Amino acid sequence: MLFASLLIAACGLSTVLIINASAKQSYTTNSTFLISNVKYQVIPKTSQATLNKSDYANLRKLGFDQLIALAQSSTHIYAEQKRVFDRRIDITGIDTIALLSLISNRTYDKATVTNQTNKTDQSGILATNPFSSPVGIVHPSLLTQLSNGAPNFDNDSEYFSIIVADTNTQDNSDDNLNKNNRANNNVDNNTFKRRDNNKTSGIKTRSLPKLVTFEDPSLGNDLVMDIGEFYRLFPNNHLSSLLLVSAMEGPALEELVDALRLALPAHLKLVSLNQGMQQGELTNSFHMNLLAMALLMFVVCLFIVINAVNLLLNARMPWFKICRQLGLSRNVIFIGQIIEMVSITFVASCVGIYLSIHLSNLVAPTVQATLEGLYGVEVGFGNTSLLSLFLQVFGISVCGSIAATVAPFNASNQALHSTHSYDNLAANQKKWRRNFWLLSILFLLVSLAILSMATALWLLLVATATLILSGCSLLLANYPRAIDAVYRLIPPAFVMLRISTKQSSALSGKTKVACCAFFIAATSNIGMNLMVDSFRGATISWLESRLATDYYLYYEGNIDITSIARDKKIEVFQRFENNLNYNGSPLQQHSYPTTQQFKDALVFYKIEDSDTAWKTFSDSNGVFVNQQFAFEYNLGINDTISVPHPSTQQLTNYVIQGIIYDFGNPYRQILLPLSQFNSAISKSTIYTFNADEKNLRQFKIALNKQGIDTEKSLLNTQQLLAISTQAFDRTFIITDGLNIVTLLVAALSLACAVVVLMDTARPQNMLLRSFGVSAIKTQLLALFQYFILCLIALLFATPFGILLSWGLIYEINLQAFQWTYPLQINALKILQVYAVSLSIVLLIIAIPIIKASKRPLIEDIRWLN
Amino acid sequence: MLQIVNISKTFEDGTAQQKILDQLSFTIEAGKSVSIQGASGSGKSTLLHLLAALDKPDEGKILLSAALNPNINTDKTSDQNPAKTIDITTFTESQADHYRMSTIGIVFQKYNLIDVVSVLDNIYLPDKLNAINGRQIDKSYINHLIEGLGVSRHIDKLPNQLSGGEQQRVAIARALAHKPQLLLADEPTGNLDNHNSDIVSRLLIDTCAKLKTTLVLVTHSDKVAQLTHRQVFLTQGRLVTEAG
Repeated sequence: MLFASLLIAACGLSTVLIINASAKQSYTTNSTFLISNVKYQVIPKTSQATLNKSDYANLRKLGFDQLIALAQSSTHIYAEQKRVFDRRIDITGIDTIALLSLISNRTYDKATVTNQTNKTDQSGILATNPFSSPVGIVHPSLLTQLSNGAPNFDNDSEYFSIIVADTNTQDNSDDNLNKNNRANNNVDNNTFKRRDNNKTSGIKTRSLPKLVTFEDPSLGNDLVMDIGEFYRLFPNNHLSSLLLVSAMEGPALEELVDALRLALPAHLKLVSLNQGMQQGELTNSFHMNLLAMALLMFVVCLFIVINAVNLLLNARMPWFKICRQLGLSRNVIFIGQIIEMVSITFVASCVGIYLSIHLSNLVAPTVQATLEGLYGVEVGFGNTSLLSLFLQVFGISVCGSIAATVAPFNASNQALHSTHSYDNLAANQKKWRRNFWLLSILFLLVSLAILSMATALWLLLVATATLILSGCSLLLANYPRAIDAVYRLIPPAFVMLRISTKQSSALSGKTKVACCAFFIAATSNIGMNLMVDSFRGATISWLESRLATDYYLYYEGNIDITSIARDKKIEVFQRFENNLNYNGSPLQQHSYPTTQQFKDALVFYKIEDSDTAWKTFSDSNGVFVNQQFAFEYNLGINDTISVPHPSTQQLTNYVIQGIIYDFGNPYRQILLPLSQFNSAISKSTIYTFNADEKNLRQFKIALNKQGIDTEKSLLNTQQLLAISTQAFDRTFIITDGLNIVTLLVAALSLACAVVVLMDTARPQNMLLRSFGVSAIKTQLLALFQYFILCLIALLFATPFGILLSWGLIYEINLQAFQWTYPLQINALKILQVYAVSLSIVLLIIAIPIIKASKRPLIEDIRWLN
Repeated sequence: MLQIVNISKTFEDGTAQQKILDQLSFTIEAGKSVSIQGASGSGKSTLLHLLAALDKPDEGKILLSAALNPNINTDKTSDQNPAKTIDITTFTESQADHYRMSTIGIVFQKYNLIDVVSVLDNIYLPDKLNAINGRQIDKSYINHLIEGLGVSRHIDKLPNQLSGGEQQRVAIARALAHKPQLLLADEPTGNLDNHNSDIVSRLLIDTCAKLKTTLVLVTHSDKVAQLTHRQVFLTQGRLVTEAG
């Protein structure tokens, strides 16, 4: 049991550390983009549009030689017809010839010399790897991972390969890109042909170039190669983006960007790469959440370790007594135990890390969707150093397990040579109760102080931890009183229940740790469930209100939807949007109609006088901002902000008239009246309208004639709600999973306590059996004792759970995402948590109780003499 | 009357088998006290466990007259036992539970009081358990028992606030509280000093005599054994001598 609990703790901790490291690397990779001095990129305007090699060639012809083509694909890697790694690897192709010519370009160099001190940093690793021969660059740990799955790995040859579908199409790699930009490319296309192998009809194997390693974290999980090599592997792929590589700053850069923006064809757009603080904050909150998860799991596992150590010491107590009688000192016995504990921890850490590597890959696809939705990060495979991982996991595990050993050992040791009189015992209990009360008040004050003053996310998490500790202390201080209250409620006729309730009181003193584990699990369960429930309720009610019209058409092309609708007697409301940079962060400017229907649909977090606010808004003097904007810049109603006008782009002053809810939006947003927007400048993506069946049918036919797939792009309110609810439920899979895991761990902790206390409780149970109480009744009574303890823990956990959800919604959520929502206390939800928690715990602790009851009565009856 | 007929019991000790009781037979008269003596391993406690239906013999019968056992329905066994006796070795688990609850009382060497409830609650426990099955609680009888055993001043205390002798007296009161027909005592004075042993033994035997409760007392003490109506000596699971 000891090994198992340490193994679970080590495995959980290292899994989280691996996911954390991978996510961090993924973020670093995404933000550094392999090449330095990339502030903008050209990408297709819509998901339907494509970025072709001809676009690239044309733009470079126009003189934009700062643009570097980038193509990306992800695929499985094979060796000797076998997949070497379960996860897909991102393969990135970069136009290295263009990049190298840019580095040698005088303009770039000048800018570099004046602006930077470290020249080698200017184009990242690619500047030092000229791709004179076909190679793929990977991080050393990725190569290690790949070679681990390939038994006959030989890095001197093109060992790895990919499998692609043979579409029998003309290889397009030799098109405009090669004609215009790759004249000097020394890669021989005939060589490509030689390295391709038709495996079976419909499937083609293509060898990867020789892999060389480069120690640069920005490589992450990517395999980077020259774009020529990339197109040999993926001849039909489009370009992903064109990176604008320039060391220019300020007006010069702005001038270049403006010129490029004007030169772009209609289907392309120029976007900023710098997500700035926004991503940083989300990343921090993600890492903080992961850390909190890891610590929660680790702490609860330590509770099991304490119980397991107790069990171990109880079993060894006769040996310890003999050792003491033979003259062995307490220290010698203690050191022996510590050495044994460290050895077990060492083995558990090694096995745990090994399992966690597999586990992180296994859970990655499930966790991916949630984390990507919430934070936009990839998880699963990271270039984590095994040594560093081992040192972290082993260090924390050893400290935790030694701490877990000391308390039970001391208690056992004292029990060996001292007995307490009843009076001393009662006085001790009183003293402990008083101390727990004091601790509880102290923790609560600390927690409230931090919650009211702190602004850093980690401090808020500390406040949450102290709040839970306060609850634990309060529970331990009041267990006997609460059990007495339950005792008084039971009618005297239920004599066995009354005795069991009294025994629960004694049990509470012996199962403090397990009860605390259950309390923590129950508090976090109630807190998280209320938070999720409030979020779900707020989101659905907000969506139902915000989805004012019956239908929503998602379309970003140039077809005049408004006039088509008008022909079919439908009035559509177009939503214009501008994405701009405000104080270094992305800002969304959206249009909002001012008809009564839309006025009723907007849900405000804060507004003073609704009529005045709407009038000012309609007159283009006021704006509505979302919570994310208001909280980030600490703005309130009637504050004035200066933002670019949606049409003229001139800085214009607007008065904030209302702050709206905008759940789930990671961006700051301003709503302006429709009249402020110019269709020639602003993007339009959503058209909303009401329509009867007949008009809708005709409108759909008209749209289909224009090539718009209404099956995919036209949704009604119910469909949108269903999609949102599905997305919402997916987002909280992790929360639900974590809740169940913490409950299971708490239940295991209690089950350990049951095993530990079984010997103590056996004479009393056997006494009842000797009185003629049936086996099933004694089992039920034993369960009833734990039921009472859990029920009281749940009752205490309820106010703390509500406080926790309050903190999560109004403090932590606000800090992490800059939006909040009303807390809804749903009694049914709390009762549901009660039912689930009690069921899980009682089911698990019933196992050792039932197992013990299977023993023949005569074996246990000897305990009575 | 309690008839023990050719009882044998063997325990497995690893690979070896040890015969604890070997074709043991004797009779215990209703309302009388019997002491059972013998060396360690002679089968005293095993016999007591069999009498309490806590265990079953490998062979033999333990016949209980209906007079001793008014609460157990004898209909099921009436064909086999025309004399209205039942064989407790054939009890199902629920019959054995019912037998222990209603017909017998047990006193152990360790006092085995429930330490979380008061002395009074401990004494009332078997009676309250029987009350669930509809039996009336005779409060005046219990008060008389408490007085007789000299524990009346301790009734509100918790068991761990009493001395060993006091605790054993409470255990005897508890074992007799529901007016059992048969009281089984397994070395009840084994944890007490000589003085307390004498007091508790006399109290136990005298109280059973007054209540006309059949007493089977396992003891190592000749002095205690001499106080009973009849003395039985066991050696290697066989009855070797009887006295009284």
